[in-house]
Amino acid sequence: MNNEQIIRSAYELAEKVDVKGWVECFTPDGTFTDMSIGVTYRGPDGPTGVGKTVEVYAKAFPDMHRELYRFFSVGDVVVVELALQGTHKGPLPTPMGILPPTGKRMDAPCCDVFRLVNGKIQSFDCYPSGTMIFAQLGVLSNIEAAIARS
Amino acid sequence: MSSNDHDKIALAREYFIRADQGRPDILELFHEDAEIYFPKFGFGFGRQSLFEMVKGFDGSLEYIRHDYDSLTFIPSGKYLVVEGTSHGKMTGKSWAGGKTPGGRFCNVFKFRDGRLSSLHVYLDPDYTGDDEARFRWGKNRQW
Repeated sequence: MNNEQIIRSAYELAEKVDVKGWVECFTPDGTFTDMSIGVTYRGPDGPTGVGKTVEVYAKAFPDMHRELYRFFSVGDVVVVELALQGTHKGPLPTPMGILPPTGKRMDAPCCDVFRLVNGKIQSFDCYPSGTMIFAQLGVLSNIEAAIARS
Repeated sequence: MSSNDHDKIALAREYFIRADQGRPDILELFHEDAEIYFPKFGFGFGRQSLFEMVKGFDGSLEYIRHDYDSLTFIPSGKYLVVEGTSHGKMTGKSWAGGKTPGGRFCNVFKFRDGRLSSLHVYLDPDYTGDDEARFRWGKNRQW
Protein backbone atom coordinates (compact mmCIF):
# COMPACT_ATOMS: atom_id res chain seq x y z
CA MET A 1 0.00 0.00 0.00
CA ASN A 2 1.22 3.51 -0.69
CA ASN A 3 0.84 6.27 1.90
CA GLU A 4 -2.46 7.54 0.49
CA GLN A 5 -3.89 4.01 0.62
CA ILE A 6 -2.66 3.61 4.20
CA ILE A 7 -4.45 6.80 5.23
CA ARG A 8 -7.63 5.88 3.34
CA SER A 9 -7.58 2.58 5.16
CA ALA A 10 -7.08 4.37 8.52
CA TYR A 11 -10.16 6.53 7.83
CA GLU A 12 -12.15 3.36 7.04
CA LEU A 13 -11.18 1.95 10.43
CA ALA A 14 -12.28 5.19 12.12
CA GLU A 15 -15.58 5.07 10.22
CA LYS A 16 -16.15 1.51 11.49
CA VAL A 17 -15.17 2.65 15.01
CA ASP A 18 -12.46 0.01 15.00
CA VAL A 19 -10.50 1.87 17.67
CA LYS A 20 -7.92 -0.92 18.06
CA GLY A 21 -7.30 -0.97 14.30
CA TRP A 22 -7.09 2.82 14.21
CA VAL A 23 -4.56 2.89 17.04
CA GLU A 24 -2.48 0.24 15.26
CA CYS A 25 -2.11 2.61 12.29
CA PHE A 26 0.13 4.77 14.52
CA THR A 27 3.75 4.29 15.56
CA PRO A 28 4.10 3.52 19.30
CA ASP A 29 5.00 7.17 19.92
CA GLY A 30 2.50 8.47 17.34
CA THR A 31 0.50 11.60 18.11
CA PHE A 32 -2.84 13.09 17.20
CA THR A 33 -3.14 16.86 17.71
CA ASP A 34 -6.37 18.82 17.59
CA MET A 35 -4.85 22.00 16.16
CA SER A 36 -7.95 24.09 16.90
CA ILE A 37 -7.25 23.84 20.62
CA GLY A 38 -3.62 22.69 20.66
CA VAL A 39 -4.28 19.42 22.51
CA THR A 40 -2.12 16.39 21.70
CA TYR A 41 -3.14 12.78 22.27
CA ARG A 42 -0.45 10.11 22.29
CA GLY A 43 0.01 6.43 22.97
CA PRO A 44 -2.37 3.54 22.51
CA ASP A 45 -4.54 3.69 25.64
CA GLY A 46 -6.35 5.83 28.13
CA PRO A 47 -8.11 9.18 28.04
CA THR A 48 -5.20 10.82 26.21
CA GLY A 49 -4.58 7.97 23.76
CA VAL A 50 -4.79 8.46 19.98
CA GLY A 51 -8.00 6.41 19.81
CA LYS A 52 -9.94 8.51 22.29
CA THR A 53 -11.41 11.05 19.87
CA VAL A 54 -12.65 8.35 17.47
CA GLU A 55 -14.43 6.72 20.40
CA VAL A 56 -15.83 9.98 21.77
CA TYR A 57 -17.12 11.25 18.43
CA ALA A 58 -18.67 7.87 17.57
CA LYS A 59 -20.68 8.02 20.81
CA ALA A 60 -21.69 11.66 20.34
CA PHE A 61 -22.41 11.30 16.60
CA PRO A 62 -23.52 7.70 15.93
CA ASP A 63 -23.71 8.44 12.18
CA MET A 64 -20.29 10.12 12.21
CA HIS A 65 -18.87 10.32 8.71
CA ARG A 66 -15.67 11.75 7.30
CA GLU A 67 -16.35 12.91 3.74
CA LEU A 68 -12.96 12.85 2.04
CA TYR A 69 -12.64 15.47 -0.69
CA ARG A 70 -9.03 15.72 -1.74
CA PHE A 71 -5.73 13.96 -1.02
CA PHE A 72 -2.21 15.35 -1.42
CA SER A 73 0.57 12.82 -0.97
CA VAL A 74 4.14 14.07 -0.98
CA GLY A 75 6.96 11.89 0.35
CA ASP A 76 6.03 10.86 3.87
CA VAL A 77 3.27 13.45 4.16
CA VAL A 78 -0.40 12.97 3.30
CA VAL A 79 -2.79 15.92 3.49
CA VAL A 80 -6.55 15.47 3.29
CA GLU A 81 -9.30 18.05 2.84
CA LEU A 82 -12.50 16.65 4.27
CA ALA A 83 -15.71 17.39 6.14
CA LEU A 84 -16.72 16.04 9.53
CA GLN A 85 -20.40 15.14 9.37
CA GLY A 86 -22.81 13.67 11.85
CA THR A 87 -25.91 14.09 13.97
CA HIS A 88 -25.43 14.90 17.62
CA LYS A 89 -27.33 12.13 19.38
CA GLY A 90 -25.05 11.27 22.29
CA PRO A 91 -23.16 13.02 25.08
CA LEU A 92 -20.21 15.07 23.84
CA PRO A 93 -17.42 15.74 26.34
CA THR A 94 -16.04 19.28 26.08
CA PRO A 95 -13.44 21.12 28.16
CA MET A 96 -16.40 22.79 29.91
CA GLY A 97 -18.33 19.61 30.67
CA ILE A 98 -20.61 17.11 28.94
CA LEU A 99 -22.84 18.53 26.23
CA PRO A 100 -26.07 16.53 26.04
CA PRO A 101 -27.44 15.57 22.61
CA THR A 102 -28.83 18.49 20.62
CA GLY A 103 -30.19 16.42 17.70
CA LYS A 104 -28.48 18.89 15.35
CA ARG A 105 -26.20 18.07 12.47
CA MET A 106 -22.62 19.15 11.98
CA ASP A 107 -20.97 19.44 8.58
CA ALA A 108 -17.64 21.05 9.23
CA PRO A 109 -14.75 21.41 6.77
CA CYS A 110 -11.44 20.20 8.12
CA CYS A 111 -7.89 19.54 6.97
CA ASP A 112 -5.79 16.62 8.24
CA VAL A 113 -2.01 16.41 7.88
CA PHE A 114 -0.40 12.99 8.42
CA ARG A 115 3.32 12.26 8.61
CA LEU A 116 4.25 8.62 8.20
CA VAL A 117 7.27 6.51 9.04
CA ASN A 118 7.54 3.01 7.57
CA GLY A 119 3.84 2.93 6.77
CA LYS A 120 2.70 4.06 10.23
CA ILE A 121 1.36 7.43 11.34
CA GLN A 122 3.91 9.28 13.41
CA SER A 123 1.86 12.47 13.65
CA PHE A 124 -1.64 13.46 12.72
CA ASP A 125 -2.42 17.19 12.84
CA CYS A 126 -6.14 17.85 12.56
CA TYR A 127 -7.37 21.37 11.70
CA PRO A 128 -11.12 21.49 12.46
CA SER A 129 -13.00 24.54 13.64
CA GLY A 130 -14.33 23.62 17.06
CA THR A 131 -16.37 26.77 17.47
CA MET A 132 -17.93 26.22 14.04
CA ILE A 133 -19.09 22.77 15.15
CA PHE A 134 -20.56 24.22 18.35
CA ALA A 135 -22.29 26.90 16.31
CA GLN A 136 -23.83 24.24 14.05
CA LEU A 137 -25.03 22.39 17.13
CA GLY A 138 -26.70 25.63 18.18
CA VAL A 139 -24.87 25.93 21.47
CA LEU A 140 -22.03 28.33 20.81
CA SER A 141 -23.73 31.38 22.22
CA ASN A 142 -25.05 29.50 25.25
CA ILE A 143 -22.78 26.50 25.71
CA GLU A 144 -22.54 26.94 29.47
CA ALA A 145 -26.33 26.89 29.76
CA ALA A 146 -26.54 23.86 27.45
CA ILE A 147 -24.06 22.01 29.64
CA ALA A 148 -25.74 23.12 32.84
CA ARG A 149 -28.98 21.45 31.69
CA SER A 150 -27.24 18.05 31.59
CA MET B 1 11.60 20.57 -5.06
CA SER B 2 11.16 22.03 -8.55
CA SER B 3 11.61 25.68 -9.54
CA ASN B 4 7.86 25.72 -10.04
CA ASP B 5 7.47 24.71 -6.39
CA HIS B 6 9.80 27.51 -5.33
CA ASP B 7 7.67 29.98 -7.31
CA LYS B 8 4.55 28.75 -5.55
CA ILE B 9 6.20 29.08 -2.15
CA ALA B 10 7.36 32.62 -2.99
CA LEU B 11 3.83 33.58 -3.98
CA ALA B 12 2.36 32.05 -0.82
CA ARG B 13 4.90 33.96 1.29
CA GLU B 14 3.89 37.14 -0.52
CA TYR B 15 0.25 36.38 0.27
CA PHE B 16 1.02 36.17 4.01
CA ILE B 17 3.07 39.38 3.93
CA ARG B 18 0.39 41.36 2.09
CA ALA B 19 -2.34 39.91 4.33
CA ASP B 20 -0.47 40.97 7.45
CA GLN B 21 0.08 44.45 6.07
CA GLY B 22 -3.56 44.75 4.99
CA ARG B 23 -2.47 45.61 1.46
CA PRO B 24 -5.25 45.87 -1.14
CA ASP B 25 -2.83 44.65 -3.81
CA ILE B 26 -3.13 41.21 -2.27
CA LEU B 27 -5.89 40.73 -4.85
CA GLU B 28 -3.30 40.84 -7.63
CA LEU B 29 -2.05 37.46 -6.42
CA PHE B 30 -5.45 35.93 -7.22
CA HIS B 31 -7.30 35.21 -10.43
CA GLU B 32 -10.50 37.20 -10.90
CA ASP B 33 -12.58 34.02 -10.44
CA ALA B 34 -10.67 32.72 -7.41
CA GLU B 35 -12.49 30.68 -4.78
CA ILE B 36 -11.96 31.50 -1.10
CA TYR B 37 -12.92 29.32 1.86
CA PHE B 38 -12.64 30.50 5.46
CA PRO B 39 -14.35 28.85 8.46
CA LYS B 40 -17.68 30.47 9.38
CA PHE B 41 -17.40 32.80 6.40
CA GLY B 42 -17.88 29.79 4.15
CA PHE B 43 -17.13 29.87 0.43
CA GLY B 44 -16.66 33.06 -1.52
CA PHE B 45 -16.47 33.13 -5.29
CA GLY B 46 -14.43 35.81 -7.03
CA ARG B 47 -11.30 37.40 -5.56
CA GLN B 48 -13.26 40.32 -4.10
CA SER B 49 -14.76 37.85 -1.65
CA LEU B 50 -11.42 37.93 0.16
CA PHE B 51 -12.28 41.49 1.22
CA GLU B 52 -15.79 40.38 2.29
CA MET B 53 -14.15 37.79 4.50
CA VAL B 54 -11.71 40.31 5.97
CA LYS B 55 -14.61 42.71 6.71
CA GLY B 56 -15.81 40.24 9.32
CA PHE B 57 -12.81 41.27 11.42
CA ASP B 58 -13.42 45.03 11.06
CA GLY B 59 -13.21 46.84 14.37
CA SER B 60 -11.89 43.84 16.26
CA LEU B 61 -8.62 42.73 14.67
CA GLU B 62 -5.82 45.02 15.83
CA TYR B 63 -3.07 43.15 14.03
CA ILE B 64 -2.06 39.72 12.75
CA ARG B 65 1.40 38.42 11.84
CA HIS B 66 2.01 35.03 10.33
CA ASP B 67 5.18 33.42 11.69
CA TYR B 68 7.10 33.37 8.40
CA ASP B 69 10.15 31.53 9.72
CA SER B 70 8.25 28.49 10.92
CA LEU B 71 5.95 27.89 7.96
CA THR B 72 5.97 24.34 6.57
CA PHE B 73 5.44 24.11 2.81
CA ILE B 74 4.08 20.96 1.18
CA PRO B 75 3.96 21.38 -2.62
CA SER B 76 1.88 18.90 -4.60
CA GLY B 77 1.24 19.52 -8.30
CA LYS B 78 -1.03 22.54 -8.73
CA TYR B 79 -1.39 22.81 -4.96
CA LEU B 80 0.65 24.07 -2.06
CA VAL B 81 -0.29 23.21 1.50
CA VAL B 82 1.12 25.49 4.21
CA GLU B 83 1.04 24.70 7.92
CA GLY B 84 1.93 27.46 10.32
CA THR B 85 1.11 29.71 13.21
CA SER B 86 0.22 33.34 13.62
CA HIS B 87 0.18 35.81 16.45
CA GLY B 88 -1.77 38.98 16.90
CA LYS B 89 -4.27 40.95 18.90
CA MET B 90 -8.04 41.12 18.71
CA THR B 91 -10.31 43.30 20.85
CA GLY B 92 -7.50 43.83 23.32
CA LYS B 93 -6.63 40.14 23.65
CA SER B 94 -3.48 38.58 22.25
CA TRP B 95 -2.92 35.17 20.73
CA ALA B 96 0.27 33.37 19.75
CA GLY B 97 -0.15 30.12 17.84
CA GLY B 98 1.75 27.31 19.53
CA LYS B 99 1.52 29.04 22.91
CA THR B 100 -2.20 29.83 23.10
CA PRO B 101 -4.97 27.53 21.80
CA GLY B 102 -5.73 29.77 18.78
CA GLY B 103 -3.45 30.69 15.91
CA ARG B 104 -2.58 27.41 14.21
CA PHE B 105 -3.58 27.19 10.58
CA CYS B 106 -3.33 25.06 7.47
CA ASN B 107 -3.86 26.75 4.10
CA VAL B 108 -4.41 24.96 0.79
CA PHE B 109 -3.42 27.16 -2.16
CA LYS B 110 -4.27 26.18 -5.73
CA PHE B 111 -2.36 27.76 -8.62
CA ARG B 112 -3.12 28.46 -12.27
CA ASP B 113 -0.76 30.28 -14.59
CA GLY B 114 1.34 31.67 -11.76
CA ARG B 115 -1.54 33.06 -9.71
CA LEU B 116 -3.93 31.73 -7.08
CA SER B 117 -7.13 30.15 -8.30
CA SER B 118 -8.28 29.06 -4.86
CA LEU B 119 -7.43 29.39 -1.21
CA HIS B 120 -8.88 27.24 1.54
CA VAL B 121 -8.00 28.31 5.07
CA TYR B 122 -8.41 25.79 7.90
CA LEU B 123 -8.26 27.12 11.46
CA ASP B 124 -10.50 28.10 14.30
CA PRO B 125 -11.37 31.78 13.72
CA ASP B 126 -11.92 32.20 17.43
CA TYR B 127 -8.28 33.28 17.73
CA THR B 128 -8.45 34.51 21.29
CA GLY B 129 -10.70 31.76 22.66
CA ASP B 130 -13.57 33.97 23.74
CA ASP B 131 -16.14 32.97 21.11
CA GLU B 132 -16.43 36.52 19.85
CA ALA B 133 -15.99 35.01 16.39
CA ARG B 134 -19.30 33.27 16.45
CA PHE B 135 -21.24 35.45 14.06
CA ARG B 136 -18.77 37.79 12.41
CA TRP B 137 -20.51 37.47 9.07
CA GLY B 138 -24.11 37.65 10.31
CA LYS B 139 -26.37 35.27 12.20
CA ASN B 140 -28.11 33.88 9.15
CA ARG B 141 -25.02 32.84 7.26
CA GLN B 142 -24.88 29.15 6.33
CA TRP B 143 -21.61 27.28 5.99
